[in-house]
Amino acid sequence: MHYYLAKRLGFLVLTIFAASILAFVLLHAIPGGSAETIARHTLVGLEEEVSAQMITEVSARYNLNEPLWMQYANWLSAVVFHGDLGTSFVYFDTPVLNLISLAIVPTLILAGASMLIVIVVGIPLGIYSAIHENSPGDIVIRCASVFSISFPSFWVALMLILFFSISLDWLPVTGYGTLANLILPAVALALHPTAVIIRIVRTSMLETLGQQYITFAIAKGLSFRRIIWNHAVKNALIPVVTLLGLYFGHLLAGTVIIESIFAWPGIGKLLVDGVFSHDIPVVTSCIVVIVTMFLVVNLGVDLLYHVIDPRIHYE
Amino acid sequence: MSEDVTVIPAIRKIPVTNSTSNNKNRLIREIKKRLGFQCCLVLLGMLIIIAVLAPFIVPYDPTSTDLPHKNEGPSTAHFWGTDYLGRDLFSRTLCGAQTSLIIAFATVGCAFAAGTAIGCIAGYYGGIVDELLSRGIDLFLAFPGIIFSLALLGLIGAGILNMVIALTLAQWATFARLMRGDVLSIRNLEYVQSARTSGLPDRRIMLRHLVPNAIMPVLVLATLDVGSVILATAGLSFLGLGIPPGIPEWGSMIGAGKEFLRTAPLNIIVPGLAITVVVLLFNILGEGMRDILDVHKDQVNIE
Repeated sequence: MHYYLAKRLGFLVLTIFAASILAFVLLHAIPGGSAETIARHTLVGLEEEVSAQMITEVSARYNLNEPLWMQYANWLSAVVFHGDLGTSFVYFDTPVLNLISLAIVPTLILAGASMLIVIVVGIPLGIYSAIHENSPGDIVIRCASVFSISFPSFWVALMLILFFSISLDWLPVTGYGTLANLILPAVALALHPTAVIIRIVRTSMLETLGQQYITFAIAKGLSFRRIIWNHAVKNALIPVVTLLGLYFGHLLAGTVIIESIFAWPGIGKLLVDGVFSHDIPVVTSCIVVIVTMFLVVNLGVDLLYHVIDPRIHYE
Repeated sequence: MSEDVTVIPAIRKIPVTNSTSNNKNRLIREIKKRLGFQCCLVLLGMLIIIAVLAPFIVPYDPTSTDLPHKNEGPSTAHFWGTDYLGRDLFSRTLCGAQTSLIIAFATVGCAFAAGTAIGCIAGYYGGIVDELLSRGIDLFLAFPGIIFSLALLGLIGAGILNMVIALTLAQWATFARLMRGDVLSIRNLEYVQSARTSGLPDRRIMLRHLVPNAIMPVLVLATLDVGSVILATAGLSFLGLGIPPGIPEWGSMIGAGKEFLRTAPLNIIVPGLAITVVVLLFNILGEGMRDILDVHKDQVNIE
């Protein structure tokens, strides 16, 4: 187990490292990362000409004349030794670390609230749907989840705004800080993963109910309630746990669009704004942070898997 | 993410033979049993015809503006009303179908081809080749959802080709991982070994024996992936990335129309419903194919 843990942690660090190289090289090597584009986006308006002097200035300021591997090595050593993610090109040379540390809490709140909805709504509905297979309730749940998987999340967000904020005037459209602000973005973000989880729980539950130990429990004369809760649900939820980790990644990716709609001050909005203003240090750091969160959660879930299901052994 | 692909031995262990008439009959029987699947096929056929013919059958030019008649509701002149510049929403939605389908098919095609090739090579050769390719696959899978495409697209600029490149780079790894697992589960079977013993070159073994027998789950994944790619395209263009202005696209229609949510909600409702219906059809098609081709559920699922 210790060996396994060490190996997984090693791979985690390696993957984050490789992902940072990929993000860094990609973003610095393409035309959008040239000194001229940066100068155009930061020093003058988009239409105006950039003078040769500005280009040299920008190149010197952000060390763009050095070879790419040198730039990366400088960036990496600053990150590892000083925890310094570089400075933003656009936000008046603010350290990226400050921007990220301000944005990470709102994103975690939003993704966490959505995850809560996914678990609290998705798992019971999936179990209900499986127990009452082919009943009217099951059919409604199945149809609803098939539709929910096909809705674009940003469209759902706008429809929620149209209905709850504009027509009914119950909830605020944008803003951050109160519970009322959190409801609409969290629901919009959670809809798609909830539908997926309902379907997965249903399938897994139906499969479990067909197992011999369930037949045995019925033959033993256990009550319906005991069979479902003590025997079926516990086993059926084991595969669901790993998928929840995976869907946390989808929630993180989903925040990019949802945060922009609701003006939620999180990493997703920071990333999108960074992309539009060609603020490469911010974009690189946001990507590395999102990838790290995603990988850490997945590792956590894999380890949790071992705790819930003692049948699984790691070498 | 697990570092080793779990191999589910659910794919066909008997090699594909040339006498597939029996198989064809079985497929036709299976399709005849499913009414929903047939309806879905017919509707998708209609959708593709509409998308191809869109520029010729639209009642109005989707880009011509008519400011005096902006943000109008449905009328006899404009079935679904007009947008914030007076452009006909019905015409724009039809032309948007063309844009979305071109991007989705091109992306899934490229990702499928690249993923199949890389996955097959990794699974067949094993050893250091597999180790390197698998780490590459894991690396790309570490970027959740549209994050990677978003960053890339924002900096290389708008354009349909750029969109396809950015989405393909984000999608190929899923295909490669599945293909690798499939190939791993059949590479040591007798017919592959006998092909190897009889001295066939590796390329021929892969093309004639491994790919045809391992491809089914990947094909089903490709069908299901069309829906996700349409959603991703719409999401990126909603943010204002990827689709140059002037080309009608559902996501960018919603993105531009959101300023008029209060006064002209049709600007958003119409293209949103179009996306939902098309994605729904591709999802039903993919799930139907999965059941008909008898691919195990654990292997391919909508994400």
